[in-house]
Amino acid sequence: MVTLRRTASMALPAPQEVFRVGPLERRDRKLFLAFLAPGALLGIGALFIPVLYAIQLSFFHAESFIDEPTFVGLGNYIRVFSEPRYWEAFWHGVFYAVATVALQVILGIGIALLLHQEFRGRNLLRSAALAPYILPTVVVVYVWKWLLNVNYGIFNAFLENVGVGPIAWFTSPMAAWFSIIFVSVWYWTPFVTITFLAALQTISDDLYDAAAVDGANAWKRLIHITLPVLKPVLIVIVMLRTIFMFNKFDIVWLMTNGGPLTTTEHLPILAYVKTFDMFDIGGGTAIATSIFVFLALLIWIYFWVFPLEEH
Amino acid sequence: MAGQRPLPLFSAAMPRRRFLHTLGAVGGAAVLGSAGMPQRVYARKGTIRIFNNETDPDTIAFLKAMAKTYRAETGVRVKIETVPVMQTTTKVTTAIKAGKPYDFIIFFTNLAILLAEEGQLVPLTDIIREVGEEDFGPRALRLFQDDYWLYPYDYNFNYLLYRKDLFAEKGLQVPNDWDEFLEVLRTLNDPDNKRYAITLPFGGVHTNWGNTGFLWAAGVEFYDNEWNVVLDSDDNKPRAIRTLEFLAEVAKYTPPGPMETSLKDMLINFSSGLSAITSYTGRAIHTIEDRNPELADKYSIMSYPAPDGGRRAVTYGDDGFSIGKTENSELTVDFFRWFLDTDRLIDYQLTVPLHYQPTQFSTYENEKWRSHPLIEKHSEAIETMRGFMNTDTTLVGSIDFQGPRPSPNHARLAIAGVIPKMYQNVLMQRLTPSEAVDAAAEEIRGFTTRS
Repeated sequence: MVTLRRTASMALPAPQEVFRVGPLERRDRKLFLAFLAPGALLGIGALFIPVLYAIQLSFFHAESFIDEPTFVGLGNYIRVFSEPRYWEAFWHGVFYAVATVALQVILGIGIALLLHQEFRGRNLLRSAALAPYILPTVVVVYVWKWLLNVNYGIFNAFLENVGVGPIAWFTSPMAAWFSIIFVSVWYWTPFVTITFLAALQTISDDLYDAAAVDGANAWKRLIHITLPVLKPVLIVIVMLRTIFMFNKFDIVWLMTNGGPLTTTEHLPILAYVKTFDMFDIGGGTAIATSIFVFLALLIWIYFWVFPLEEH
Repeated sequence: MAGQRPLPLFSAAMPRRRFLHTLGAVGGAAVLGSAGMPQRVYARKGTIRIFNNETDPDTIAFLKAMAKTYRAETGVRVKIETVPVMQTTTKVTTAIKAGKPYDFIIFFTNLAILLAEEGQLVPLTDIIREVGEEDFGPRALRLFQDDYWLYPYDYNFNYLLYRKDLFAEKGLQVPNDWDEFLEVLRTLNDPDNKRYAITLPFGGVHTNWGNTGFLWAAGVEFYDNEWNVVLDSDDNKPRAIRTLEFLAEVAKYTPPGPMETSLKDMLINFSSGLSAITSYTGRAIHTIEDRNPELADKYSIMSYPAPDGGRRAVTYGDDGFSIGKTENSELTVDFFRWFLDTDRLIDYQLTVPLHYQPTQFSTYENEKWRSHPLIEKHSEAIETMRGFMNTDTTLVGSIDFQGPRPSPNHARLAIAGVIPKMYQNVLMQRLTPSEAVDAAAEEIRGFTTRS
């Protein structure tokens, strides 16, 4: 194996070694860079430049992407932070993320524990449990919107038959939130389930057998064996799902457009509306940047409170 | 074949490796040559990129066939990119920013004017004057900086379609004012038998087009000629409040969930018989023809009545063609002239004949257009549509006609959803009509720019 960088503790090489090893290192370094370059360029081009461009735009006033931007400093931030609509959207996002992540984790662990048991047709059920996750979001949303349609949806047909009457699932704020959270949980729980199921399969049966011999019942085995093993996965899952759900744009946008009124509008939707609907490029990118900063801060605090143990 | 001399190509005089090299070189040259030749021709002739936001399959098929014909006739390649209408602004402006502006754009006036202001379009004044400005119906052409920037082909008038058989059955006449209109709704509404009087949208951006006819008929205005917000002025506010009160009453006769009514619901509810009245364009007639042809002779259309009678209204939602200021501008102007000279505008409009309502009076006299089976079959509706172009009887209203001139304020007013929010505040009983008008006016002031 050829090392690319010498450590300080290495002894000084003999002159002939420098002559022999040096050119080899340089060749390998070039090879290393050649392999690295496409990925690095793609990363810089597709990730860093757009992010930096968006952050840069947040300090400018522009009414369209073809308009000449004018520098306004922190003006956009001051303006959007002073709007009640921003804070309303912020708390909507917090509510949506907390509700969906909590339900996904609880249901995900529950389903994973069930699918971890030995029973006939387990493999089939495991595959079926993953089905929602492999569907495109737009298909999921439109299917659910159709199922929940107030006049033609199968849910309302059932509700009418049992005398509850049709419910306009996207008309009242509470019903709209219920619909969004329900579909989000239905769609993303399989991801959590599969992750926990994979973690469960790493637990040796010997541990359960030994605990059973010691007289531990199913509940105690869950509390003292299963959950401690799942803890690192749980920490990562909660963090990842929180980031994803706080940033989730497609489901909310496709289901309600942030309505009725602005009762289901969260920050990603507000950023989109500002940028592309209100032609306030600076305001929209300021909101997007604030989401980035908020989530970065959240991750830092989260790992400070729940550090991942290397072992 | 023993005793025969092998062909030189396979003889020992040409080793296999050399043979393969030769074959590779000849093959490569042939492939590159054949691939490169037409590209050189196209590079000389150019490629016209068309942005299209008309997503009807027949329209897209027509555009593709036309592109083939044009390429065969002139060698110029025409590339069509179809994008849903709601993504028009984003797609067109980001294409410009990315340095790949479209050469020919099928979209609407508001964005055309914005692009013209930024110097991104070529004026179409000469072409329109050659056709004759007088041939275009009211409010179809919009001058900006003394030029025309959009060639309108579709009025997209939003009007009311109603079941004339049900009207006749109940002894109802076309209502002349809002009291009569409400009486019609009361008579038609029969929720126990799953029949509702009317479908109108009260939520979503499409409400700006699908349910503003009553606002224009009532004479409600949002801006004056200096971009002052006048929605809550002493003059306007009573009209706006009256319209909101009236619409809150109308909403009682819609199928459940009027705030979630989509464009699709408007079509389905009417064509399925769920509602006796809906607002839309001729697209609804196509839907009837496709899904429930039995209704094809049982409907009629009307404009929105005014509160106390008098001049009625329809809502305008134009579609048209523009030419981008690109390196292919001249090529694109030639293409557009060819498009007009070869009657392809008529062919284009006939791809969805009852939906694309022509803006030119001459089209209504065009033999090819008139003799289309659907135009002939629905001639009564066509005559009524044409009647909407009479400014004495019909006001053509739209968000786009507010204020002194085309402006981003129109797009903001539309896309910010101020009007549907005003309706929803009343329907959800969060605000009184008066408070809803005040809140809407305040929101409009927040985003209005005068520059």
